[in-house]
Amino acid sequence: MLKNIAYTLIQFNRGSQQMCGIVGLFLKDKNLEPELGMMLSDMLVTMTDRGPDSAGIAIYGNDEKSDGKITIQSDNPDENFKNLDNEISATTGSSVSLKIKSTHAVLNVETSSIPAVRRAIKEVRPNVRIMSAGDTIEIYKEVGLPKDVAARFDVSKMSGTHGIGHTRMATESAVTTMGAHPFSTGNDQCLVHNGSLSNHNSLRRKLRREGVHIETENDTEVGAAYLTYKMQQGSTLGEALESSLDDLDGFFTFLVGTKDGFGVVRDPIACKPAVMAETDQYVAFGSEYRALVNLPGIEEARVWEPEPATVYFWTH
Amino acid sequence: MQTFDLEAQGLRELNSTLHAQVKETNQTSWEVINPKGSHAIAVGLDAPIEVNIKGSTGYYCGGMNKQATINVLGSAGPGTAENMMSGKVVIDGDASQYAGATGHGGLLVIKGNASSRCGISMKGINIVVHGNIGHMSAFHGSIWKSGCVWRCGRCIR
Repeated sequence: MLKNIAYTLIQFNRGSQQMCGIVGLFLKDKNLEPELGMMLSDMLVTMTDRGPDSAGIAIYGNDEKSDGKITIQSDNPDENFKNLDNEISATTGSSVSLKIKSTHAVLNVETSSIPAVRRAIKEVRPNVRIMSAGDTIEIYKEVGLPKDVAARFDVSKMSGTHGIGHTRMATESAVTTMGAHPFSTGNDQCLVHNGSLSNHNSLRRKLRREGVHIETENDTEVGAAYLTYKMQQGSTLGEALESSLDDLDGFFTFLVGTKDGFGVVRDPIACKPAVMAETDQYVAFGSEYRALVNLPGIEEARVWEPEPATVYFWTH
Repeated sequence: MQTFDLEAQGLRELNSTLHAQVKETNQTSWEVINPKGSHAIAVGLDAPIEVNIKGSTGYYCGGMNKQATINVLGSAGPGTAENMMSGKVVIDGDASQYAGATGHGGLLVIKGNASSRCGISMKGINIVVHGNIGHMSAFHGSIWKSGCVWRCGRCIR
């Protein structure tokens, strides 16, 4: 019996070599902000063999002129994005501008009109998917190799304060754009996940009963929705991550972004790999050390493996 | 001493060169530069040679080792020295999960901390950890009644 358990544990470890890669970068040094996209896409591409199915990034921009923004996606962008800004302006009466990037587009709107614009999108373009909304967050994710996804959205040219990325090897749901990470379930919030949650169906039912909107059947989205729900109830990011250790069942290493924060938590067994590095300039996260090797000053960085069932978070 | 640039020359070239060394080899001292967290560095060696890896390694460094002495001058990723048969693997920094798992013999020294499942299912390997070790370390090891894990720090949980 014990032999079988040990063998099973080793097999879990073997499994954890594959099945998704996570990267994240939280900048402390403003001088690095123009290079955020470049560093993040390099980290993402390094994690290709952990997740070649699809890839995505969430990036928190540093454009001080920007008010609110909504990232949208369509499989038929030529048709669906055409004249969309004017139609939403006409419906909501607020000013909207649209910037198209391949299958995604960013709608710049006033933060106060985000709920109205979301409703207007559903009304005038029911097939368009909303990836994220908030003051600074933009999410881009697609099926395909990480290098192709990063090139498609020109990630390397993006600047920002922090960002997280994910390369996916699907286990719990189909390889689709909407099944790719990051998931965003609240304004300026997003989550990427390596692992699989085993109580996501029951938790999804509970959260839906509480009125939380959950789009897909994906386990990670439930994790994201859970954290959003906790923060809506008044928890800080750190408190929400702490309570996830009691309420979520399964394997997980989560990397979470908020408007000014960045957090990490691993389940108590911590099969899913994680390495962190911190210098005066940044905090970085990678599923493997390989993802971090090209960061500036990595040779002198404090590098460590986050402890199981321990919450780490940083805020600007 | 032979120096091998892993970034320029590649992993397969490194491991096949090291595998080609035999018991009577004169090239007993090797240095690997630019490891950059690569997987499976110096795996499956079977000769009395010394390999110094100048930097941190990824998954499975020194796995299945026989006879060789492998020094990692940095930290090591998951599965380091997994299923080692004989020889010695020394990690200057920390080691990630399941270091020395299922090892049959030899000595694994981790000068920093070891993560979870260090020495899980060990079958004769000796493991010395200067720092702390994670949960489930040496789990199942006692069933085999051989090998020891010596630690100088604390066992986490």
